[in-house]
Amino acid sequence: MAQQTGSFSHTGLTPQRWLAAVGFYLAVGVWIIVPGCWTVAQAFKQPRDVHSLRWIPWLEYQPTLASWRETLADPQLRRTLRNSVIVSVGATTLALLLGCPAAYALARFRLRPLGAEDTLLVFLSQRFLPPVVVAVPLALMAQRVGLYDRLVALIVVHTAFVLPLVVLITRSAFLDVPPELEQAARLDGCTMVGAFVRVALPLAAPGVAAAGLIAFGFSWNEFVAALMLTQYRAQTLPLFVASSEDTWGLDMGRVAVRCLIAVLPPLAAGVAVQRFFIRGLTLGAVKG
Amino acid sequence: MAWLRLQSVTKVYADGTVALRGLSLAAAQGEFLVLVGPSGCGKTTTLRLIAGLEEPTEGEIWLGGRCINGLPPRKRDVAMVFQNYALYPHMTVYDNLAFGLRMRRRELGLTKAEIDQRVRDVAEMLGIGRLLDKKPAALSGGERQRVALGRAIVRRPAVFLFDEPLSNLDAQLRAEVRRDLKRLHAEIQTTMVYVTHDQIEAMTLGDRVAVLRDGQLQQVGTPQQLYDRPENLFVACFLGSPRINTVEGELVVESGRVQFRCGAFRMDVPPGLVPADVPQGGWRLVWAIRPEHISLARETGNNYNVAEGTDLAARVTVVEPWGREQVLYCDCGGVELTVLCPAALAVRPGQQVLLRPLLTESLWFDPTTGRRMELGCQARSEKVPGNGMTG
Repeated sequence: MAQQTGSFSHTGLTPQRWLAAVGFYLAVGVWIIVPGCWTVAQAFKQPRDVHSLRWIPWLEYQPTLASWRETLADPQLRRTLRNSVIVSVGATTLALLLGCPAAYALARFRLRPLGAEDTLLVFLSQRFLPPVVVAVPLALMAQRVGLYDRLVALIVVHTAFVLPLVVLITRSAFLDVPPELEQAARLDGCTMVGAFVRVALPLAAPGVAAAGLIAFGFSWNEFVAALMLTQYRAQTLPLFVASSEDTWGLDMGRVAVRCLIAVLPPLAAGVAVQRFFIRGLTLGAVKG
Repeated sequence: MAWLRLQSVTKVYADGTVALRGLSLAAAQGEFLVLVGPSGCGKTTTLRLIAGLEEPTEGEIWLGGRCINGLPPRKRDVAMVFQNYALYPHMTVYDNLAFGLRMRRRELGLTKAEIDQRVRDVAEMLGIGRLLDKKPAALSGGERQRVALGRAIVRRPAVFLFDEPLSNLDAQLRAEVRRDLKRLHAEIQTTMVYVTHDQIEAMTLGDRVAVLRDGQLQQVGTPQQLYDRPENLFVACFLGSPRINTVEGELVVESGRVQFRCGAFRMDVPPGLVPADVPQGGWRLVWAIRPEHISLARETGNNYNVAEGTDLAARVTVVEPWGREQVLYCDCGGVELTVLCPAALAVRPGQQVLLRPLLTESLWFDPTTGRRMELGCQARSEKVPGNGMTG
């Protein structure tokens, strides 16, 4: 029996189911990978090739770095890239600084009159609102207080957008930390804040890192608020990508290059925080 | 003088649960006090109140001559060993042990070298020296237990608190750590408050044992006092394995004999061995006797006979061999009695036996209040209802 099913036996699947599973994953893979490949191909095409469905360089089209040269020479790229980094890093840092203590409080203390769950729901309800709804009022407010087309305004707005998610994710990370550990730390001489910083936070690091990554990704990609709150000086990378159209129409090669440049920093951030995602960090804290 | 004192401490949680009701308890310096009771009796709450992890709703807690109400845990000079050990998983064993000293370095005026020395001394004492560089995840249950113990000892606190520290260990390891704890206490002579629901731990470890139930102190005393002279039925039933026999019935005097009855169960009682006072609600009483105080009435060989008036005819229903001893569950006129007797006696289920309760060791309880009733001397026996008492 086990011999017959061969390589499928360890998965416990019949050959038909195994084929179905492989087919499904292939479909998902194609769904995700093909647009990426298309973008990469476009980035190296000459303008006359961009609208053709040619995939293989040198055989089907002659690759060129023309789009790259043009984009990298564009002073707008440097400015928007710098703005995006400042806004994303700023918003992520601020959201973590505010979100972690809030999440910890929601994980540990009884809140009245609303319980922790309801408080969280109130937090999250902000996220159900389409950003467009608040974008115009925010733009008007920013103008009134003199923050229009300033990075600070974007940092504040992005922080407000990602804070609920940060609180939700880090709260569940704090819930996974046994409270006895912090109690032990308090008996060992820590204040409540000390126990949070020295014990709870290091143990919740994987969750905090995940929340940070999501916050960074959100802020990096955010478009509507950036569009409404900035004009020129504070424009971010997504706006730069979207502004690829000029009087001669949409240059797909230019779009592809800008997209690839925009993808790189979040990718790097993901790799950088990967080491925090060590599974089983709390293993052995309590009873084996 | 009491080193640690709880003075009519009441704790009501925010959700309205009353965990403790006016608990007063004291422990002398260097004493090993065990708090025992069923789950939800308030014993862990008591510990957390002493630790400062909870604040009492009413009452005062004194430690070493100062009232520690309202002090944060770090200022109370107490160390606690948690049920699940609560080792810091992101730190090595060494850092786990040193954490408490580093946090108080300035207060204690310790140099780094002194901290190192203390950590290594304690590790040596507990035999965990070779584990210092490991993380808790790499340790076995017993080793984690020792590290948790070490983390408490290294601080040299005014009082140790143990919250069911052995409940996660297997039986063999438990006996081992229990012995180690007793040795440790003899060595460091610091007050220890130990919470457990395990009566064997309570009896073996405690200088004194406090039995709690529903947030109220039932009795406090040496293990032997509690075992021999339990104040009430609850304490009597909680301590001792196999459990004490209890039979609720009526004391009746008939033609000069005092008899205890419960349905078909009949037992003659010498008049001197009945309670002195009439319990509330007449002569209904609970008779209690420990399984080891019932023996098999036996002549020679396997011939049992009625030798005394107190002997009870019974049928063995279940035999549990315990190795050195065996436990017999007997049906005696509709009442189940547990008997602890030497394993050497050949007894089979279904066998008819004669049980001989050692009535001088039996206890009487008021069924309404559960309180133990003092025995009357012969002179008082006329209080037993009915006529014709000749004593």
